[in-house]
Amino acid sequence: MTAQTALPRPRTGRLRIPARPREQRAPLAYLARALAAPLVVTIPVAVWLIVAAPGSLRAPAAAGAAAGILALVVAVAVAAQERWRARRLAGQLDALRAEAERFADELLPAAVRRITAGETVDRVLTAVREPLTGPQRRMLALIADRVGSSESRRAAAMAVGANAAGRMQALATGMLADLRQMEHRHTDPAVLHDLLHLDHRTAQAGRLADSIAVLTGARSGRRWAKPIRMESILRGAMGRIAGYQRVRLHSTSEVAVVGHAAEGVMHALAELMDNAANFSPPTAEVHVYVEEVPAGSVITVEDSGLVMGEVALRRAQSAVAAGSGDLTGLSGTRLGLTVVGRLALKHGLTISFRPSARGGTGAVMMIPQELLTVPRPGMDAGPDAEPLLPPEVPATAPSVPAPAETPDPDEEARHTAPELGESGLPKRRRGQTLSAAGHDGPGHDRPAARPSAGSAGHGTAAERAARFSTFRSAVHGTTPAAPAPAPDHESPASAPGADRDEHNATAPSPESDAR
Amino acid sequence: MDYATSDPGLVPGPPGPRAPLDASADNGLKIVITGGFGVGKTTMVRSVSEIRPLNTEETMTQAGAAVDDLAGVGTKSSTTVAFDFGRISVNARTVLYLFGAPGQERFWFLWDRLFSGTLGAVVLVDTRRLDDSWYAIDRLEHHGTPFVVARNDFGGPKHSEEQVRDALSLADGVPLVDCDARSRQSSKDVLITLVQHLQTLSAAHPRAREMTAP
Amino acid sequence: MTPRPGREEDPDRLYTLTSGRSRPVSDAFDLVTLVVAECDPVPGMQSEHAAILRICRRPTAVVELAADLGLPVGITQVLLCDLLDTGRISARHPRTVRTAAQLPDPEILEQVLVGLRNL
Repeated sequence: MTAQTALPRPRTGRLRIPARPREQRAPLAYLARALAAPLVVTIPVAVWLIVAAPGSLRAPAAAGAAAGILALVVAVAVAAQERWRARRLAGQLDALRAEAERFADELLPAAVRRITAGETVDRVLTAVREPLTGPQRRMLALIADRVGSSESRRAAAMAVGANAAGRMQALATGMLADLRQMEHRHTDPAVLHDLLHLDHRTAQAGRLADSIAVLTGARSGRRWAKPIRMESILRGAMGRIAGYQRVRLHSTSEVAVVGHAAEGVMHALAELMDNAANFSPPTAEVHVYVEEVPAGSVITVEDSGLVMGEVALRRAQSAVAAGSGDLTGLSGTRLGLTVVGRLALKHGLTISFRPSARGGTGAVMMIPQELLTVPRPGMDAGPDAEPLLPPEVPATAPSVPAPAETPDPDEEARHTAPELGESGLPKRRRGQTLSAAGHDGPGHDRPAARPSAGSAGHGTAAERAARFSTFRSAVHGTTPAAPAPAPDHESPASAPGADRDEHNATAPSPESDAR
Repeated sequence: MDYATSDPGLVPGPPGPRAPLDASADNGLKIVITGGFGVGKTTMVRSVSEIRPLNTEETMTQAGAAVDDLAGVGTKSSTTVAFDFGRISVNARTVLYLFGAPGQERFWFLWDRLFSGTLGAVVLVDTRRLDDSWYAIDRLEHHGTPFVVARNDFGGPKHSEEQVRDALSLADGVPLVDCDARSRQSSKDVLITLVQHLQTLSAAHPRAREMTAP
Repeated sequence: MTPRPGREEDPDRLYTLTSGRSRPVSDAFDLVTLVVAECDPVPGMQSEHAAILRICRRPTAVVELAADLGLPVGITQVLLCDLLDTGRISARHPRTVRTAAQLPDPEILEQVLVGLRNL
């Protein structure tokens, strides 16, 4: 692809790259300088020889001297000319070399930098003020063009990723809200159990979408309209990881994280918790401590897994410190820490790693004071708040307007005209609705003979149990009552000393794919 | 406190403080008020309750509103039904809880929990939509839960008690009364009818006098 | 008055409140079981536990607790089981549970009747 076809540029743009003027310095002054020294020496010698020579020899001496001087002058001139040419060539070579180096070391990289920073190829080329040779000009144009098109491809890919991540975030957020409603609506413990399972899965999927959004530079998907209390921050973070049941919280903190930073803090914490859970034995606990310091709040996530070696610590630190680095060289395994780095940069969090007192590794997050606030009283009751107000006088009959309840349109639609009796009222047949609903046949209907609510509706309960156990095994892939399966990855303890990142790469857990 | 009630269209009462129970309170009893949608269950709970009826579920609002609603799947605000309840302190030790439970078939999953251990039930009916109560009555008969039927006066054509009783295929012993769910006195009378009905049943079954320990 | 109004605006998922447990280990808590706190909340306690202990300084029915906490009854029961197991609360169970062929205690019915008439 040539520059012209790829990006039609105004011809003036090309013409504006100035050509280098040829070096045309006159050698005369140089020649004079070269001749001066031999002449200053030889002429007095020649004069002295002529003067000192006997009279008869004076003429031939003078002639000889003149000839000699002439020969000398010619020789010197020739030599000087040669030397001058040599010097001039060397000078030209030096200048060319310097120019090539400047082209390669400064001009070209600067141009590439500006293009990758988002400037158009056109703009960058026309902005070049330095004189360039034809080949340099062509080289620059070609490279700029290639970099420009690869840059726009990259930007397009990122935009696609960011857009898709945003949609996934919106979906996950919507699903989480729906699930929360259902969790309140369905009082059946078996249904609640299943809903909580789906809730947990959705929260993890949402976190993955959040990570992709962070890496592709998309806007954060969720914002909280109010400060989020520390307990909720910690639980919001742990709810997004597979091994949340292993996380133990130790916090008496009363502060809250301001709404605009809460999501980022939770996401970063979730990545650190997930990291800790994945790099400690599957049953080991991960402990989270919160400590107030003058500069803010310090949250420590400690695992009892492998102690990270110097190299691993440094690597983790640099992954987190990279902050704005690009995605190249980002192996799937270090995704989580890169996300943490981006979030830390965005919100001004400080992240560090150190060996943990528990034998594993501690990840330390410092939330600066600017992101913290004390919850308003009433936003959430503190431990000493009084929940109950003084007794009220029992209300007298409230004068509510006539039962003005509007029928549910849904019910309305299902309201089929029933069979009317002689009174003009629809006539109920006992048990009809139960059998129509398919719960219990009329045969099961023994009024007042089976008063125990607990044992009533066995058919219903059995049916329900069967239905939900199928549902459960479909979603769990295990026995009904079993909790979510633990990530099926090799115990890190089995590979002592292994680099944490590499270990994870060799034993990818199905639930920790965000790393 | 901003609790939603399951029956929309009602003017919400003032958010009042909730009185704590006597420290000696030690026995909670249940009565369920059921019936079709919009028949006045919440109204009846409200008219006799000493607390503003509470709901086990609040109106759901946006959950962490999505900044970007690219996919158009934004969370919508909606009210869903669980059950609302009120309270009557019978004396220093005994507290009666009234549960307004939707009588529709799609809420059957609530019933086991609500009806286990309940004293009895009130089925509220609206003669204009009598069949709305069928499922509730079938369910109660099936559970063997004692109940009374209360006809909430919505105006409309007046049917004789016999006509309604016949239309509902009510067993002979089941009381049918008229009421105005908005009236505290009228709602109280319905509850009194239910308790008297329970006493009658209890007297008819002398074996059932045993009190069961928890 | 409600400790956690508008819970849907909180980032805590329900399973994180109970470590994933969705059903109580026992049927110790009916909807109208009255719960009484046996101690005061302490700092560092899970906020729901603390709220329950505050509310239950006076006897409070399970269903009222659930409404106050803005939590499903099932989740509330799990939290109550934890507190009961550690002796932080006591439970006063309803004494008129009907079982097969049994009707409520006439004495209690009489009390209820008197109470209703005195309303």
